[in-house]
Amino acid sequence: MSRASDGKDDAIPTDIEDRIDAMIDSLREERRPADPESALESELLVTAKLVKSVRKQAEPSPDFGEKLAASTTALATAAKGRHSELEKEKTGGIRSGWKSYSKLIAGIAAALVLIVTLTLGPKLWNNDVAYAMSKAVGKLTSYHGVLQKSYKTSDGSGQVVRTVEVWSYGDMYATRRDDGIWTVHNGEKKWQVRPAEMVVALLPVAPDPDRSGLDLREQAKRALEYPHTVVGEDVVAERNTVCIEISPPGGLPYHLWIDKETNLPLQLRTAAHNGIQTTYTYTLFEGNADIDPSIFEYKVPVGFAVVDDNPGQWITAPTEALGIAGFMPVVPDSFIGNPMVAHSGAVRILVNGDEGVTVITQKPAEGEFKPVNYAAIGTVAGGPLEVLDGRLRWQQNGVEITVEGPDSVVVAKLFAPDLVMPEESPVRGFAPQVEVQVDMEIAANDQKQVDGGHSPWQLDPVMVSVSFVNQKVYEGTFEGPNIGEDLCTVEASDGVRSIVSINKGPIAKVYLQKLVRQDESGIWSVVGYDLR
Amino acid sequence: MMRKSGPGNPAATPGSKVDNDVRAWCEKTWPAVYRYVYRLVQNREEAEDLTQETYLRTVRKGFPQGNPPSMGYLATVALNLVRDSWRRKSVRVNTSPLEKAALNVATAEEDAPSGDIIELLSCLPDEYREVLDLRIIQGYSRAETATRMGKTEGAVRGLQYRALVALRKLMDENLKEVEERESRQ
Repeated sequence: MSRASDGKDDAIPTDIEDRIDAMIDSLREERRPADPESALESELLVTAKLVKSVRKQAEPSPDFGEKLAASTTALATAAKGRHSELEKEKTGGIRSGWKSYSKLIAGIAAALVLIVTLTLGPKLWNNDVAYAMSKAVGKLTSYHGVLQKSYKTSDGSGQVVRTVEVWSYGDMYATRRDDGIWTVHNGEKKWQVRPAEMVVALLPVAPDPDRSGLDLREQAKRALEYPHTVVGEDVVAERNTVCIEISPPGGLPYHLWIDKETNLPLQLRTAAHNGIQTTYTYTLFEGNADIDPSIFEYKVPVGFAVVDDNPGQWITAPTEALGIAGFMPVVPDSFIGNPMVAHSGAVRILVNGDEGVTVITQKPAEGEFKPVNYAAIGTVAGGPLEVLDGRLRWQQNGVEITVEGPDSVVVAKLFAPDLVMPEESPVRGFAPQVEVQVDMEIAANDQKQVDGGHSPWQLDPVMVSVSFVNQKVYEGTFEGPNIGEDLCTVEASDGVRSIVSINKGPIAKVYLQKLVRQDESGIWSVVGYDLR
Repeated sequence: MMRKSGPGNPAATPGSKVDNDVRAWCEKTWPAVYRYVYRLVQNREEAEDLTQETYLRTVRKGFPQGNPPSMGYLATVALNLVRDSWRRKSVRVNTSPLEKAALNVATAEEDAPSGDIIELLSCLPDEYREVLDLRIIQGYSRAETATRMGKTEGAVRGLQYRALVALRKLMDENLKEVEERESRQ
């Protein structure tokens, strides 16, 4: 073969050459290449794949077919049970609210795994331990583990406070606490078996706070959105791990231990709040464990009573809601025919997406809609849109609508096409007459205080404004009455900048900004004001 | 088989019936699904993941007619998953002409190497063709390739990059020619 030089042998390698080199290595080692960082990289990766298509295909792993057939069969068996129950309900056999959600709820748990993979991928494409973790988590279809929660005080004493055994498979999960209480979510139904009380309690399937509370990976997903560094190695639950320190902007660092062999997170230790550190440890973790699907079957043990605190009725048309919920819900044409559940005074619609369930809750509007002070504000249906913790809430046609879940924005826009998210409509007129210099050291300390559970009022722009104005009066900077929050209105807020108008006293407007951290856990600082 | 994690759930009945039809359907269809996906992604790890995801999605939707779906249906699910993954990875929203070409490779007859690729490779300068052959087709490491070509590893890294850029340009030109030819007909 020719060895003609192109005259660039000694050129200094660029980043893109390194990344393409790594992608080629991934392909030749039959591994998933890192995500491209640019359109050019993307096209060169496709080109490399086309070149590789000349080569004979690699056979799958020896046990791949067997594992796939086993897991598919198990999942189909479980799904069949759910579908047959749905059919029974549709034909009038049962009309008991949450039982009717089967098809819509399918997929809620898979989101745990997929969200981690999808959200972490682009930012952390290199050989980062966090990237390896996201890949490992992405491969999990099931797991079984024992999760231990413990705490340690500043004097070094500690205690295990709870142990929970966890089974997770596809859309479903089950937990057993050390006090014997079972919680099971099988994709269509969630219930708790309480042996001491001899009760089976039916629980709302969504939102599902139990799920995020038990899953270390969910914690890891949030943590990895922040800067992190490897700080050492350790043995956790008899496994060799790498410890990374995660540093939220302006917050206290905390730690995550990742199994060196499996790349899965094994332990999370929070920052010390009030002198107490909480640690969550998987003392046992089996990824892709073969789990008996029968544990997700709903059965009432003999002698147990069933308690359903949240009965509802299955409806297929908005008009049916009138007699049950007492009002006509807002239902766009594209939702007609979708299953809905009507309760007294409320209607819920659940939409299943690839990343989980989005829940739309409607109830009759009560007076003028006023978003909470600490929410970001957008616009919708000619009025304000409240955005808080990923949940959207507004009033439309005399109905208060709340949408929460992974597809909340897309679904909400189906109800109100004119919806504008706060980030799409930056705060206008953010030009204070008088600027206030903020001491960032003090602000950072305030942020740490709030992270530790102190002074939560600093998350509320109205409370921060009230404090600022009253302080100015107290110091004698201005004369005027002390004001209360009833005199304040959030005029505009995009979640990062906010303008609060004051109806009385020497200051007419207060301008606030999140200077330390720009997410919902960030504190507000006053950066200026207008005099009346 | 891996061991089953038996919970002893007071509300559960162990030992659910295994659905033989589903297992038979999966065992019959998965090799073709895997090969199809592999042609698109060109690596085992991603091909296995996407094949598994294809069955997961299909089963989750249930079998409306009572029977497991056909290979054509599975291929459609798999293709959508691959497209989704490209969109997630790409800075673009639309499928690029090159990605469309890659899709064509996947939908061509099985195990038939793409004549277009071989022809385009032959149009490259010798050194470019050689580095792509050694690194990607024959699968040598950068160090092995450097030894065989009598170059430094750094030189191989730069050379393979420029070779891919050149091949991409040739592919673009080729695709444009094909489009023009088709528009004239």
